[in-house]
Amino acid sequence: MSSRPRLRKFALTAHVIFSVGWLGAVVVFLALSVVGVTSQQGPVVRAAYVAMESIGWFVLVPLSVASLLTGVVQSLGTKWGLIRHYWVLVKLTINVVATIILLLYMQTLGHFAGIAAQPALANGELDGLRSPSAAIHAAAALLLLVVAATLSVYKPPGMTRYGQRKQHQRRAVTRPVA
Amino acid sequence: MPDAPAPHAESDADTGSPTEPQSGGESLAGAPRWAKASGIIGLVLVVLVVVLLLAGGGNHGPGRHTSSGAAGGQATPSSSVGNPGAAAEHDRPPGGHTP
Repeated sequence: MSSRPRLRKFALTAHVIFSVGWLGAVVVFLALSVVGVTSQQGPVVRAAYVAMESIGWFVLVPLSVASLLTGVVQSLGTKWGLIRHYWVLVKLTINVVATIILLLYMQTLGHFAGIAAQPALANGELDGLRSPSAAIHAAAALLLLVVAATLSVYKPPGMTRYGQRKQHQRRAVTRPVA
Repeated sequence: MPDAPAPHAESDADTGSPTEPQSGGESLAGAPRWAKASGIIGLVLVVLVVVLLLAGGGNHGPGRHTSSGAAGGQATPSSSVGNPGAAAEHDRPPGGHTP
């Protein structure tokens, strides 16, 4: 039976690609958000927000959802499980929270992009675009994703009660009868 | 013989060898220290964010980012005139997004 290991590797590969891709996209988003805050040129600021919105909907959201889905599928297909080990549980929480906040923030970003895309801006609107909000959100997301990636590699010990129960059941089944 | 119980997943990509979940070394006395510390830090951050939001008037929608005098501050790509004072909260569905 070589199909299951291959399937696990495929699921793992997909999860790694989507997760690391998501992290990379957040770095790009962070760079654009910094430009949006610091640039003194109005057209550059506006272009940054228009670009950020596109990156958000066409890169960040799909990658975050794909990372979440592949992570769930991949974990359920292994003995690590989804809620048996704390490092997996924390990663799952990070992924879910980051995805939700991303989806919510896309509303704000759409608002900014809408202003930026207008043919002409009112006096206060350009200053309003130079908000650190996008940079703050991107930095926080980057931190979360780095933590998740670190957990993936180090896999710190700690089983949940559910995991311990499952482990005991497995041992009881495999223990030879005296 | 069925597949050996070698979960690991991520380890394969790094070391090429499967890694079983640690069993003998796992603490049976509840959550490990790092998980508790992470939970406390996360909780503190959530409380901090909530306090900051409440201190800022509770408006976390897009409207708070624009100046109060900008009548078009709430404009969306699909509309030519915005809604002054319409604090669009995060649960507003996206409208008229253009690539």
